[in-house]
Amino acid sequence: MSFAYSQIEMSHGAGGKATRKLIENLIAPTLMNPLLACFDDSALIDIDSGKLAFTSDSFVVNPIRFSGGSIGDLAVNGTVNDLAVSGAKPLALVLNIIIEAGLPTDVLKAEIEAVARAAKVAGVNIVGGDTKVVEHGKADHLFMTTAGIGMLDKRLSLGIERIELGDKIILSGPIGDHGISILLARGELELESNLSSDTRSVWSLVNSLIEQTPNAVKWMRDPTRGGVATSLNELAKDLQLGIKLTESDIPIHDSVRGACELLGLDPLHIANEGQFLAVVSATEADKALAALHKTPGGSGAKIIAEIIAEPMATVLCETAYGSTRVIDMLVGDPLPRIC
Amino acid sequence: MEAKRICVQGTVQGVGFRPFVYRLAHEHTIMGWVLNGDSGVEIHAEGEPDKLQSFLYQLEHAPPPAAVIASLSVNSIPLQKFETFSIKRSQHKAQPTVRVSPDLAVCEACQKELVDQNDLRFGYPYTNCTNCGPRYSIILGLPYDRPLTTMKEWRLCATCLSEYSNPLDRRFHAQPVACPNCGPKYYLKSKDSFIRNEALAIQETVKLLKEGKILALKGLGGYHLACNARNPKAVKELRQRKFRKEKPFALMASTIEVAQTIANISSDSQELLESTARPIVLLTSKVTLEAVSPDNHDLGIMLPYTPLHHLLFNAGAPDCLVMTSANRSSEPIAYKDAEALESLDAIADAFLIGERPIARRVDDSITRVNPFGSSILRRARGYAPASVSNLPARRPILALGADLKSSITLVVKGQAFVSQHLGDLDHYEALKAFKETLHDLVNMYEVDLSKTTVVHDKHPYYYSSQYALDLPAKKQLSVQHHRAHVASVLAERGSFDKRVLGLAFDGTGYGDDKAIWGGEFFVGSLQEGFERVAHLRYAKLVGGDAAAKYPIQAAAGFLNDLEPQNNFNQAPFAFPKRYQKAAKLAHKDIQTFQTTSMGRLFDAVAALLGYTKTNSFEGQAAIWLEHLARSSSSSTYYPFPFENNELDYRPLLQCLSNERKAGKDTSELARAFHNSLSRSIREACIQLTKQHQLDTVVLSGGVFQNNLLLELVKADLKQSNMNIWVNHTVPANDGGISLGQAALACFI
Repeated sequence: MSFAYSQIEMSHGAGGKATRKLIENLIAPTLMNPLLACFDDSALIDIDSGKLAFTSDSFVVNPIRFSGGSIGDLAVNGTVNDLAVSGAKPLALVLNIIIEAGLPTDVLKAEIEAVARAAKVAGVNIVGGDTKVVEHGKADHLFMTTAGIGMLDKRLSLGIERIELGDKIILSGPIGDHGISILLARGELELESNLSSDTRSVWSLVNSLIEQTPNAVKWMRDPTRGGVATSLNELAKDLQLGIKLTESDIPIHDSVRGACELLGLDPLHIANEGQFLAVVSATEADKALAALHKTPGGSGAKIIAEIIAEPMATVLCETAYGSTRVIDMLVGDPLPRIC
Repeated sequence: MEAKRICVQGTVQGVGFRPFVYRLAHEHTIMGWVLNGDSGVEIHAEGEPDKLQSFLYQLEHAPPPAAVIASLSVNSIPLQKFETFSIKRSQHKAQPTVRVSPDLAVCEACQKELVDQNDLRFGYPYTNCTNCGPRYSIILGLPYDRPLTTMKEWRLCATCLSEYSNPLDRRFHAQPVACPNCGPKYYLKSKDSFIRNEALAIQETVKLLKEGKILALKGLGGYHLACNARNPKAVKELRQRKFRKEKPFALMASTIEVAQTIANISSDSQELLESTARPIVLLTSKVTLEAVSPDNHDLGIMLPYTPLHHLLFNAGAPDCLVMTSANRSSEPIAYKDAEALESLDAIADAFLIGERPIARRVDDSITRVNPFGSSILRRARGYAPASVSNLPARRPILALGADLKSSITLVVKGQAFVSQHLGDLDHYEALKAFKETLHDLVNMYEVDLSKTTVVHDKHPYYYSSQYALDLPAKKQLSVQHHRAHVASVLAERGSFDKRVLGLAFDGTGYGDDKAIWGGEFFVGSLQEGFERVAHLRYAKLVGGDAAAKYPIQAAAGFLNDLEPQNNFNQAPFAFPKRYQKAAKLAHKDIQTFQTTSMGRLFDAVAALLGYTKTNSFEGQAAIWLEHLARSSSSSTYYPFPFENNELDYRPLLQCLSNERKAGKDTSELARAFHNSLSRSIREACIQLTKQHQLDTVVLSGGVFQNNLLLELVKADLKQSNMNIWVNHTVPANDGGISLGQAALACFI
């Protein structure tokens, strides 16, 4: 059976027949898996003994489609990545959708398909969820919230208390692709070619580290909003140690670099949706890097920084010219400072 | 017989003031004592009334050359019948307000000894006396005494001690006094040699300089990188190693005569060059020194100011040296030996290292004579940390300035001490210097931060603003950037209630309306504050700071408002692709701000007239435009109307664009732009001073470092009988912001 309406109406959120139709005919078939098929109030999942990781994230991106992905990809990958960088293998997600009345059905369908595709790639099932429709103007096209659980990998022991001076920081791949793509998509601008969001699951990359160098990995984070600069500043403040980046080692696409120069933005402040940072012991850093390089999607990984003693709670970046800049957190929209 | 208690305040410590008093007392048969107290020099003088009077007159009117007397109080007290006149030990009781002396250029007497083969200090690079030598750069604490300087490690030999203890000697209580037998030395270090012998080290340095090598020389407030300015290969090599593309290098000429052969030097400029501060003076060049100052008719020249400089020139060093702050690209000057060795490893061929530690980094100051007198562009060595004015502060005030060209002002007991230039705070080394200097000043003057008013810029993301908010202050204040510019001029003059029209033109400052200001007119006084009464028409600022780096991008914002038939991609403009991209961003309002920045208008005009490259240092396009204009004497101007309290740049840009298309000479157009701006300033000043019943105009902000503009404005306003006030003791650029902040904070 197919869903016959060309756009979503308020009745589709009323909880009656129309809602059932939307779910049974459009959403469920796309996401189909054995757990979802039960249509129960809760999904029941078998797990081994151990620790569960449990997280949730909401997605309100505008526009909902952009070069390299869409809100459906983000909804899956965002939550999967939060689990992955906690050292947990993603097991299951629930998906909640808030639809603005009037959204074309095709758009919704495409996003449900995107969710299904991303979930498949990430190796995770959508095991439940909820759908609401709000009046036109009360939401911006489509909002999604996902919650996910994952099983903590026992081989890992993450914790900032394990971090030592000299430890290295690995970045999984080029930065800034997502944030710049969104910024330009918002103005329907095509300033640079080959620019697309990096949204993806990083689980396979994290998993390769767990397989190859489980003891070396001490901390991981996905540098989303606020970018690498913000994640590393938070780490430096938590550690009360310094972090020194080497600018020439930071992977970045020319197109992103060009766009950032034009926009007056620092790529280190730009959001990513398919990268992670890992603090690894100095002795095994090269091995960890090699593990990533061998994993599909990991060829762009680089060692970008080192843990240093002074200055405390500060992130520095040594530039190509040998001078050293202070890298602050993103504190708001970047305001001009130069005279 | 009668007795007087005299208290002298000002720059009176470390400048030979006590020996001077001692000698004066002897000449006038005065008995009693003199000492360095916390609030200045205190004197107890007993003698016959006429002798006392003459003593006081001499004291006030013939002090040592480097002394600056700010106040002198005399009170009658009971006779104590002293039988001698003595110099008593320094006292340290309450919060000190004594002024720390800036570093002084080596005096003539010391220079003579330097070349006298029979003198103890012949060829000794650390010679000094009470009239000259290091001060601020060696002081670790107050009062100024040897144990609280970086000379504390060196014990005086018998000869030095006898000079140090003899009140009639030039070296009496000269804290850094030293000689080859007991003092620190210089040595030369390079990859393949190490020369301990000082004389040989100097000889080898000279030899290397002659060969075109790059030397790191330890100076007063930091290291210099030096090479022969007349050797283009060496200069280009230095540019390459320093990653310094086009920013002009400072020069040191061996003598004033040599300086005169390479630049035009007016008597005012010569006075600046030869002053005890020995700043770099910007002068119009007579000759072209390849790669020293590209696209720029000015040369920054200074004269030797340490004994070492004289020794190098005496030993045959090239008579004109590039002497640039030793650092890696745009960081502050290196001053610690270990750091210098590490950071300059890839730049310098050899290091001439002196053993005397530098207590704090102090760059060379940069000055210029402009149509209104002397001006300072970078205030550091020779000036800092002297007090620049007296302000009516109820409690101590600490003003943290702006983030670029950072300086800090501390007001203690009404005296405003302005720190040396600290650099741009997004550089780690500059940020570190900022924090160190802040605590340095606070500790030196024993200020309790919890009883202090801390002032910062209104820009929420300045490091200095964020740092201010973390300080345990009694009161926190923020001051708008351009109001601080105007206030800095009034603070210099101590004009607290004078109502003026203030023009603050610069590149960027955070405005009341969250837009980026820079072309502002204010009415008010320090006491009542300043109201914004007019401004440059708002334009779009595409990509924030990127627009300051790429003039073409600034142009995209300003030209956005013009008639759409302009095609700037084609000749003669041939704007690169960036222009179109930026124009698209402006059109869609992506990462685009509102601005009234005069600095960006200069950039936009520079772009229109052919400057389509990237700025490799701040203000480069505007300087290029000024120099282009200077080569024309055209008196043409275009409409730049001042209407409804707004300067409308659109007709001006349209005319410039049309004329350029019509093939008019770009230097004439650059000149016409300056003419137009000046006339428009005149129009605005006449309207606004009439409307607000004012007779005085204040000009501040980085744009008013443009000498051509100042000349034109001075001429255009001549007949209006308005007073025109500009900065003299602090920079018109952001280096003066902290003083303006402190002045306004006195009245908030």
